[in-house]
Amino acid sequence: MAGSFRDPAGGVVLGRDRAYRYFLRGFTEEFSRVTDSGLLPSLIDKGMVVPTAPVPRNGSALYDIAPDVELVVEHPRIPFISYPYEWPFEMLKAAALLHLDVLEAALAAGFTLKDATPYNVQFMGPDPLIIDVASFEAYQPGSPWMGYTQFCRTFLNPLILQSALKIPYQTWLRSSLEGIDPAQLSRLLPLNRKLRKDIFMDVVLQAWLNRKSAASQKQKPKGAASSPPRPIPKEIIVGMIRRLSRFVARMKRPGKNASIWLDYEANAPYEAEALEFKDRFVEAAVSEAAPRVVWDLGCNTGRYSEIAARHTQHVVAMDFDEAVVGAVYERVRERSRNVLPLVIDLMNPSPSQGWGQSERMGLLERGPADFAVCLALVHHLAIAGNVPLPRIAEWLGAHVQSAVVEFVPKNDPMVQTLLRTRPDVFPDYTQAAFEEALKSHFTITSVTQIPKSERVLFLVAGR
Amino acid sequence: MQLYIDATTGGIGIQMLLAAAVGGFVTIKLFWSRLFSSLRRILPGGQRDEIEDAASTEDAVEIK
Repeated sequence: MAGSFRDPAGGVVLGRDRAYRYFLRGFTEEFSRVTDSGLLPSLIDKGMVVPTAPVPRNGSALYDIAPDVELVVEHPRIPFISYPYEWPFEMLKAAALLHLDVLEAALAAGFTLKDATPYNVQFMGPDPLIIDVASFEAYQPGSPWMGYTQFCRTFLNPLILQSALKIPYQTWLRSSLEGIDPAQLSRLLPLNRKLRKDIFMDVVLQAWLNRKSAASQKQKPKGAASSPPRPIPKEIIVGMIRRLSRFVARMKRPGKNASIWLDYEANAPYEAEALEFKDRFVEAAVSEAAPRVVWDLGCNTGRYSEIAARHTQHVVAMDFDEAVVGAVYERVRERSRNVLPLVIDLMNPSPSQGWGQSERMGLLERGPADFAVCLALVHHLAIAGNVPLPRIAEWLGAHVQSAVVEFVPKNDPMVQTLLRTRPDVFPDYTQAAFEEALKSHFTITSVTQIPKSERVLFLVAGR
Repeated sequence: MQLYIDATTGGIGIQMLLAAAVGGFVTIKLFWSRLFSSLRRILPGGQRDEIEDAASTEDAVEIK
């Protein structure tokens, strides 16, 4: 797997239903100690770490995957890999609290975590899980928490950016995979925020100490020895972890319910009969297709994600609006255990990036979807995004095997709202043109008008 | 130059400051308890009680 090259202890390869982590000679002892101590089995039982089991060596080709492979363990495959810059506030917060809980449990058992990055966390439905079991190592008394800075950059500072400054962090985190530098965040914070205890310590003081350290390094004569670091008692680290847990747990999304999309369902131009028809149609379509993975493109508050979730193994619910995706997460975390909500702007989806542009996968590399639910989406792409209908159909054809697609005609109030602030340069935006475009890439199974509405549902299947 | 600077120095610095602050607190507490116990040994009974009272008040302040 492209992202696992950084670890000298081994790597990860993906099978169809399982993921395999291999450990090279000299790196298995640490892992065995974590397992034998009972720490790893206990964290797995509590659902905090991905289930892990050794693969017997007898004849397994997995042991030939690289020279010097000493141990291979297997995990269930995460249904859909996602990244922190695709998570809404609530999901990054859940991942941060999980990391701190696992670290505290590890310290209590005499271990620590080598790093503190949300890229070691994946979501199985709405549940965060630590997936990097090679991150555990023995705790050396007196050593500092080496992951603290990384924790601040990749978990804490993005959460502070959003909770204290009302700036969603996704775009920043997407272009800065190492997270948000405390000095940059500190410059943005107003004085009254900087003086709050936790922000002062984790952002302002850390930025100042980094600056002081850089300045003193410049002034130091060449070859001058550094004084040995002062040992840090374990209690200090545990105290920091507990303080950070309380700080993160207190953080709240600012301006909750601020997005207009949160009210879309209530304000949607549907009569109850039309809405019920649409629900039944989607339910029947997904149930008939029996797909393994469904993408709900433009999921809004997740109504159809939840309906689809009853008839498939996994639903990836995508929307560009961070606030609605946060609301979907809150909605599904208790009710639909197989829905993964993500902040994805289809006009500019996550790219392939990181080292060699292959460390973090772009959205389309994680497809194709067995089935897509595209309701009230096409008019946004075509009219707000200026994407011609044939290109939308082509895109769907390339990344989706079958789908239910809603076409909203030009006289619909929602399309009229979009056209109110822009000239109507969309003479080709017609149902007939869309049908023609879909025919180039799919077999159209049915074309159904929603009762008491002029909206149309296309059921399409790949050829 | 920026490339040669370890980004974790600030984070480790905070941990060292906390360790120093806790260490200092423990040292001061130890100093007071030793001072009171030596005074207790030197002074006669009545004054000893006053010192003990003062010591327990001092502890209460620290606990707060």
